[in-house]
Amino acid sequence: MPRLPTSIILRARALHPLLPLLLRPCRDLSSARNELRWLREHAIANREVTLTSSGSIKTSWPQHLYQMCRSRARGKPLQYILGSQPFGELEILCRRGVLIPRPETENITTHLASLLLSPPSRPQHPLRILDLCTGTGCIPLLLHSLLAPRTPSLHLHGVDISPAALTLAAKNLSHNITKSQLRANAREQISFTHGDIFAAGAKPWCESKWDILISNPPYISPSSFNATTSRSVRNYEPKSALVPSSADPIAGNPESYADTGDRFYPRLLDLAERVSARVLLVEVADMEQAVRVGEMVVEKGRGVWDGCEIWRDWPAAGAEEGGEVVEVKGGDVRVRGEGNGRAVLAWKGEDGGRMVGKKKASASG
Amino acid sequence: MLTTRRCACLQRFATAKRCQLWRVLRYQSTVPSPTSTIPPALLGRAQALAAEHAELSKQLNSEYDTRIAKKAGSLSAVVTALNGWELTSNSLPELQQLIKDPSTDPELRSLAEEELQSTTEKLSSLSSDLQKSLIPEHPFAQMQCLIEIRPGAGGDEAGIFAGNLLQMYQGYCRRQGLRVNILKFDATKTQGLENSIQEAVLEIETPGAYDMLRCEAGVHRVQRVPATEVKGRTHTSAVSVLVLPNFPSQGEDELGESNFEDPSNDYYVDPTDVRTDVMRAKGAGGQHVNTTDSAVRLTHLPTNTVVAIQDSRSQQQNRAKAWQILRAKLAQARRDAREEEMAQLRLSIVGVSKMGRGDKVRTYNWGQQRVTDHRSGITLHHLDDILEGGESLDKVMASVREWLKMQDLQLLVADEEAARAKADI
Repeated sequence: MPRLPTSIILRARALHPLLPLLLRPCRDLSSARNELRWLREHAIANREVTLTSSGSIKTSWPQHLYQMCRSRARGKPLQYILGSQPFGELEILCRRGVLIPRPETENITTHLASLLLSPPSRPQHPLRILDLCTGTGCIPLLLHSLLAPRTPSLHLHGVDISPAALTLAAKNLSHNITKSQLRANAREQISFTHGDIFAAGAKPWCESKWDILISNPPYISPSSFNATTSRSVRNYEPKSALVPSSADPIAGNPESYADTGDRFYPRLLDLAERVSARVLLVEVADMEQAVRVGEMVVEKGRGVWDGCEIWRDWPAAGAEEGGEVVEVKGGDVRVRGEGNGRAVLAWKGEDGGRMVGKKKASASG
Repeated sequence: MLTTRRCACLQRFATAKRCQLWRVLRYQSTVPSPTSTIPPALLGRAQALAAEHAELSKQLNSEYDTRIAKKAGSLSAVVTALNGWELTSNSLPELQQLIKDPSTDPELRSLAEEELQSTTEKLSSLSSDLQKSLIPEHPFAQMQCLIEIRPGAGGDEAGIFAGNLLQMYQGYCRRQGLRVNILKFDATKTQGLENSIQEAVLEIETPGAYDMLRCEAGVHRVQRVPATEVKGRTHTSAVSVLVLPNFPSQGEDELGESNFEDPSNDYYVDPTDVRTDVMRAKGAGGQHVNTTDSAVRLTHLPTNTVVAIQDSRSQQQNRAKAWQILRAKLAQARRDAREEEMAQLRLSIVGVSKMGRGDKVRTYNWGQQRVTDHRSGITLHHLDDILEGGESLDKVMASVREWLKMQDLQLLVADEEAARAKADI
């Protein structure tokens, strides 16, 4: 990380004595000022007013603010300090030990919801969506908030291996219902269970049928965990949500996934087949991984998946027709949107294609 | 002495005659009789519009869109008029050929001659229809309107006459069934205990009232022995009448923002005109970073209006707020532009210098009980009926509307010819 120029530190200090602290994680003045404003608002909103023995009123928010800026300077994510992250219309609570929802996840989830709601692909009733590695539960909650107003019957289910994540997901569900960001029927339509997706044996969630399987699995390879993740992510966020653990049994050839974050994808594809999902949407790290996942989808053959598509960070952006394609296993795969490669979409049958706005199962596999 | 006076009398008489003669001539010159020929520039325009109509109809067949349908509807009058005109004008050469041809049967020829005459008459009416259909509708034609009446030169007498005009327009609106309110009535009592108006503003709430009444704008001159005059002399005074389009209050904040999907609304912004920039994570993004960049910047490309919002941690909220501000900014700019336009309009109708007796549009003469409109040249002698806003006023206004149409048509021809000349270069 390049050293911050002294001039910017001096300028920050002239603006506010706490700004130089925030410059350390933020690296630029405008985002440091934004963070200071949010921290200050948070400190004032949560201040405790105490009456001292001498009868004067004492509030401790400036100290609180200083403490928060100190921990932020050490790299603690702002979302953990403030305890929440906006996600669509929702406010997702964030706690140490559970991955913070990312704006990229928000984008692709919103785009999926808009596809499901667009006229040619009216949601089937009841629409059943399974989210694996759900974490804070942000994906099912956001999908409910977007789909529920126009979908009479929905069932969303989130699965995670971490008990902490499951507790937080349940808390997020009731938190957003009390804030009336979610409809009251979300309590019946969304559920979370504990589950290890690599565990053999029958679980209720993998025995029933689901229309859509969506997942934001750990996808960072051990080498890039050390190289490309930010310090704040590395030091404060749960590694199990970021890097597939080497203890996880590997489906297929162990050698080919040695130092990649791809371990989860073969298993997710198997599970998708098992629950007869018609649409699969998985988040990936970059274009290379997207192409590798695309290859796995194509290898399954046309009988399993009829089409496959790669989404970038902003899948809704860019030209509607005649966009770019990448070659995967001799076939062309459409790439949508702008930004980094971010997700792989696959669909099965005419039904699945219709759900995600494909008129016919097009020849892209 | 006597002879010179007689001479003077004769001279006056002759002058009066000449004036009358001149006016008759002018009457004919200002309202030209429609001819069967159409300026080629106008014909070209009509054909271009017809082609556009055909194109729009084709689009409508494949996909219905209300905006296109509205446009096509507005052009259909031109197409109908053009078709009628072309049909008739094509039959003309055939008839002439028939008459010229020596081998034609005499009976047939006489029939053809009759036919030719009737066709020529028909053609002249059709061509005037076609020309009228080409005149674009006044942009404010469908608006409600305001009438401002202010006395000009002439003191109290002008104020009293302003009151007469106010009553005239009230009577007219009552008879036409237009809803009318007095917005402002500022008057003083004269010695004769008549109201002398300083300023009066009428609001006519019926849509389309602007088109009906815009012919009334200008300086109205009165010639009579005023009530304030003790020596019995005839005075000439002037009152200015302003007719302004009255924009319905949909542009107001409280009403406007609720329905900004409507393109006619000030708050409507075409989403394709707006570029959205969001902070994009540098490097890998996704799970690799947990930054909180939620800034959104909107750029309205046609006007280059930029709105950047980074208040909230939620990008969605920032985006919504940025859109709200962008809409408000653009609506404000549009309202300013419209007010500018209104100011221009006001200046063009009655400049301060035009408030005298000279540049009048109409004269009301009590002594002769006549009303003359100087634009269309019409003279009527039902002064009382006109001042009550009766049917005679309708006649006067109709003649002025006709005159305005002819003016518009001449402008149109001039524009079209200028455009063609430019295209030829």
